[in-house]
This record gives sequence, C-alpha cells and structure tokens, in this order.
Amino acid sequence: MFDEPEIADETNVALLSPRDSLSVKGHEANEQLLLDAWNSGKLHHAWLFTGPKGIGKASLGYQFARFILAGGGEGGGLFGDQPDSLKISAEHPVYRRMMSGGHSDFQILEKGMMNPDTKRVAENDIPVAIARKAIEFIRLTPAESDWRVILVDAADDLNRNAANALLKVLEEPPARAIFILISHAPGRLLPTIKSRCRKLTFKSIPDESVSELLVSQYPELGNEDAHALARLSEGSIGKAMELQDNGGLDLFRMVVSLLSHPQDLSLTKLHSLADTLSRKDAKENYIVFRNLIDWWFKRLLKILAGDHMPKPIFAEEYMAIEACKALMPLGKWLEAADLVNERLWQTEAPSNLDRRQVVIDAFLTLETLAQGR
Amino acid sequence: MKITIERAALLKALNHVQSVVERRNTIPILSNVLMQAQDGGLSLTATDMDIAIVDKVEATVNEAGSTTAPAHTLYDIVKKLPDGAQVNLSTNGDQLELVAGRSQFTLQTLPQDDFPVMTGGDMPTGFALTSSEAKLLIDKTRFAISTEETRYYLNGIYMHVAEGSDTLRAVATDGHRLARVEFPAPDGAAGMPGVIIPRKAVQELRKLIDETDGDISVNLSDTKIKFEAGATVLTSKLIDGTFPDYERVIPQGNDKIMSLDTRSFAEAVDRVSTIATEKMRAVKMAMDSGVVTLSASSQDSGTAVEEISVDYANDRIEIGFNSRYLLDIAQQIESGSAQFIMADPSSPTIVQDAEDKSALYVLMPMRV
Repeated sequence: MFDEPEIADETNVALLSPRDSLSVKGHEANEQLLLDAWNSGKLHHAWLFTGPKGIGKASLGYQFARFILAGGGEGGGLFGDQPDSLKISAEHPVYRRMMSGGHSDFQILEKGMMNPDTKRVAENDIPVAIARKAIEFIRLTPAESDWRVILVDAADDLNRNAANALLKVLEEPPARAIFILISHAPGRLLPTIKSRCRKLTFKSIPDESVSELLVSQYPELGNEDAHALARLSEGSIGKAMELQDNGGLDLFRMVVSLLSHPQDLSLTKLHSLADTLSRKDAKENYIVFRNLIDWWFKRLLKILAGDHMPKPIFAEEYMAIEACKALMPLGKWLEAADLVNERLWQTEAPSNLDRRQVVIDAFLTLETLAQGR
Repeated sequence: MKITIERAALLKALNHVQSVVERRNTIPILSNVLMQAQDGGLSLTATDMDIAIVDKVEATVNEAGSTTAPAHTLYDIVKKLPDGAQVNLSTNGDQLELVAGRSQFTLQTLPQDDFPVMTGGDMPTGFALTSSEAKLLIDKTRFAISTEETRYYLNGIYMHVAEGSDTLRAVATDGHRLARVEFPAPDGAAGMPGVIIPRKAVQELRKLIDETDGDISVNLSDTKIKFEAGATVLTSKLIDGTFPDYERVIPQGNDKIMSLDTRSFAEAVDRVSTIATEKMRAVKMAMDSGVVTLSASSQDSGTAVEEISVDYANDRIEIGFNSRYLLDIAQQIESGSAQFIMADPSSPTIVQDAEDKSALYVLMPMRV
C-alpha cells in the first residue's frame, strides 16, 4: 500500500490557498448567513461574494461548496438537528476530492485554466470556451451528491462573452445547482448578472487577525514584521501573504529609506534596490514593488490633500511622509507620482526596458523634481 | 499493492479505460487511472467526471491494495512491452513500480482518496438488453442527436418506457428530424424514469457493444446510468432536462403512402444533391402515380433532375427535403423497401422501413 499522504493539521492548513483552507477568519456573520440559508431549505441559486481582494471570499466559497456537496456538512448531531457549522474536516472525502480537483459535482472557473478551443492555458481572463464547459457541466446530473456547484473566482475575470454565456444559466438555473461568484470589483460586473445573485459583502479583516494568521502561516516571522505586513496589506490576508512571499516588507523598507531624502538619494541604497529587483527570478517581486510604490504615493497624496495621518507601517515611514510633505506641495507630488509610475511601467510591452535601469531612472527623475531643477 | 498480470490482458483493459482520459489535462488526478487489486483481479477505473469506465481483469494478487497512476503513460508502456510478457506491478511509497522481463519503470502515483467517485449510488431500475437490441437503440437514433447547445436537452438519446404500450423507446431529434426506435420492454424496465443519455456516453457505449456478444445489463436512477458488458462497466451522468413531448410532432393523419427501393432512392438523392447549394441542400420530390421526380437547382451551378419508379397511387404533391437528412435516414433502412407517409408539402413526413416497423423517422419538409 502507498503511504497515507500527510494531512496537515488544522493550524497549518488554515492559511493555504482558498481551495485548501479549512476555516476562514473574520467572516462569521456571512458564514452564519449561508448556514441559515441552507437550513431554511430555500437556498438561493446564485451568490455574489464581494469585497477587497485576499480577505477570504474564495476560501468561504470553497468551504460553502464543500458543505453543500457533503449534503450539509457533517450533520448536526444524533437527533437530526440542523448543521451548525459550514466546516468539514480534512479527512472528509469531499474535502480530499475538492482539493485534488477530482470532485465530479464541482466546477471552478478561474484564470489559468486550459482553453478547450485553443488548447492553451488562458492566463489573463476566463474565455467563453471555458464558461461553456462549465455550462455543459451544469446541464448534466450530479454524480456523487445531490447538488452541483460552480465557483467563479473571480467573476471580474470573465470576458464579456463568457459573462453573457454564464448569464444565460443564471437566468434559468437547473434545480439543485449553486453558483458562487467572487468579485473584487462588483461595479464592473454586468448588472444583469448582479441582479440574479444574492449579494454578500465581505469586510477587511482586523489587523490583529491578519498578523495572527500570518504568524501561524510563517512561524519564522517576527511579531513586529507581522504587524507591519498587516497594516501594509490593509486587512487583506491574501495581499499580506503575497507581500511576504515576495519580500514585500524589505522592499518597502528600502523604498521608505530612500524617500526619507528624495532630494538627496543615497546612490548606494538605490543601486542595491535596483539590484534586488533586477534579479532573474524577481519578476513577481518587481510587480509587488510597483504596486507598493503606487499604493504609497496614493497614501501620501491623500495626506497632502488633507486626510488625517494614518497609522504608519513603522516609524521610518512616518519620517518619510514628513520629509516628502515638507519638500513639495500637492500639485508637484501629483506630477511626481505620475512620472514615477509611468517610468516603472516601462518594463512592460511595448518598451520592455530592463528593470534595473527603469528603477534607477524613476528615482533619479523624482530626485530631479525634488531638487526643483 | 503487489500483482502479476498478463501483458495482453492489462493492455486490453487499459485500452478500454484510457479512451475517456483527456490527453491534456490540467488536473493531475484526472490524468490518472485508478487501480484496485483484490480477490484475484485488478480493476481499472478512468473518468473525465462525466463518464467513468471500469474494467476488471484477472491477475495474481500477492498483496491487495490500490493506487492511481498516469493512464496514458501506463498505456504507452504496456503497449511497447513484448507480447506474452508478465507484468509485475507494485506500489512503493507514492510510486508505482512496473517490471516486465528486464524492463523496469517507476511512475508517480496519487492517492486513491483524491480520485473522483462516480460509480456509487442507488440505481433502482435494472434490466438487460441483448447486444443487438442495444445496437438498435443507438444506431437507429444517434444520427438525429442535436449539437445545438441552447437546446441542451436534445444533446442525447431519450430512453424511456412508452406510456400505455409496454415498449422501451429511444428517441433523438434536432428539431428538423426525429428518430424513434422501440421494442418490447425487457423485464425490470417498467416504471423506469425517462432518461436523456449524453452523446459522449452514447459513443463510448457503442464501442463497448462492439466488443461483446453477451447481454448488456443496464442500471439507472434519475441522475445516473450504468451499462455493464462483460468485464467492463460504463457509468455516465445524464442530461438534466426535460425531453420535449415528441409524440406531438409525429403526424397521425398522413394518408399518402409511397413505397420505393431504398438503394436506388439513396443513390438518386446523392446524385441530384450535387447541385443543391451547400447551405440549403434542398432536394424537391414530386410524387405522381408510379413515379417520383427528384430535382435540385442552384443559381450558381445549375439544375439536376432524376426520376425513379415508385409505388404510389395518389394525388400529385411536391415536397422539399434536406438531402442530407434523406440520405441519413436511407442509410438506417436495412431492407430494400422504404415507405414515405405524407400529408402535404408543409407537414412532417414519416419514413419507415417497409418490412421493419420498429424504427420510425419524422422529417420536416423544406420550402423550395
């Protein structure tokens, strides 16, 4: 016999990808609402989970899907009580098969799936051919359970034709079919899709919960760093993990240290930042860096425009904000932020410039502006 | 798991099951075949999550157990082994070792628990079909299955027991033509729910029937159907929809009957349709006493006319048909004589084998 595969215990699994995560933190009210909907016996066929990226929408979506496919979780108890939790354990066969992608009554729609028409992986969106496959799936009877579940993660990635194809089944859904749509930007969804769905809003998780989760996932992470990451990700555990996986905090430290003296950049620091970002395997890190810069300039501009000072990520950031504030007025900073962002995007087509040169150029441009030359 | 198995037996079983496994699969577990060894046999399962095929073969089981391994790789290996070879399969940790003579392979496996479970569940209805009955059900109807996605409930063969008459029926239609075949319902079929068998399952089942002479046992519920032929079991999901009330479109009052020679009719239609435009494919049939004139015309290529002698003694009528549909139906009629039962140029026409009334075809006319 083969060895039993390792089933990680709950604390370890708690934070893996949405597909694998066993429990979701910070959305107890939504969990209860779904449970009540199930227990009422009149479960709505389409659900739209909206809220910022990376806070547990898809995780709860998977959890709800598993609960449905397990026929109402692990049941309520000896006396036929209604189930009181959406959770099912890691040993449950439904959990195992959902994790392997081998549950025949579950269909995921996401980026990175094989397009059956072109036989290529659709990296950037969900094309109509993949949506059609999901529709074919929902037109067939379930094989293992009484239900079929389609999870769209995220509905924002559906291209126009795919969205329209999906709309058709949302309008006339077969019985015992459940659609769970995840959306980070529901404003951009087709209004006709939105109107078919019951909407569930997800709020960012408190910083404390994010840092707690981070420490449980990355035991090597110090408390202080965990708190900084939590603040940096603004209540999104997904974003915090992305930052942690790509050295986001260190990058942010370097940026802040440079921006403490924008008019007199330390060339050593600048080159060391550029070196870090130009490594062959640093493509993801660069994207994280670019998003951080964009996010931080927006933060700075809001403060300059009169917003109250937010809690700094760490003390050095406070100094950087003060330094930048003293240096130039809002108008100038708007121009500077635009210029820097524009430079940083030159690594993409059609320019395809070298990351190293682009980073150095962006900061030197900022320095020139800051010096008022 | 530790077993020894004849290469030919393993190859045959793998050949059966691997056909449902897609070559390019992004989900690793779906590229795998489930192997379960116990009680002197090895059972192999493959699935694409719509249908599952299980095949059982004899094997010397030294140690019972189960695992899953890449189906196509395994098939390719076994195919290349010399004929008559004894294959030893054993699991070692998360690997499968295959030894045959001096060849040795190690394959990555995935745990059985990750593998889709499609074969379980209650199937209250059960009956047996002879292989010729099963062939009849499929061959006489499957050409009419619709490929139109919007009417998904037509994308399969509707199998049910007819109300009132104790017959088992298979029906397929694409909205332009309809095929219905029936024969006395086998024991156990009475009271079965009407089911729509998806096209893919029909194709796999047809392959299965070709390889067996014995009976096919059928088990079904309102969500699944299972066909068992010899050592092979095919389980499929069903189309979740309501088949339209097809009886409504089978005309009852048609009174103009024409009999003709199937083969010369098919050949004539084929010749005349050469002229018919690619898009319309319309052929006009003008029935007069003792003769039918087939004609086609197209602005681009010209005209074609052919007469054939028929057995017809009624008023002259002209009806247009899609030539491809006419040919499809002519191919289904095995005896030499086919019967057209018509009413008027705008109503559906019934076509039947003059000698065998088990199958019935309905054709919508075209305006020409």
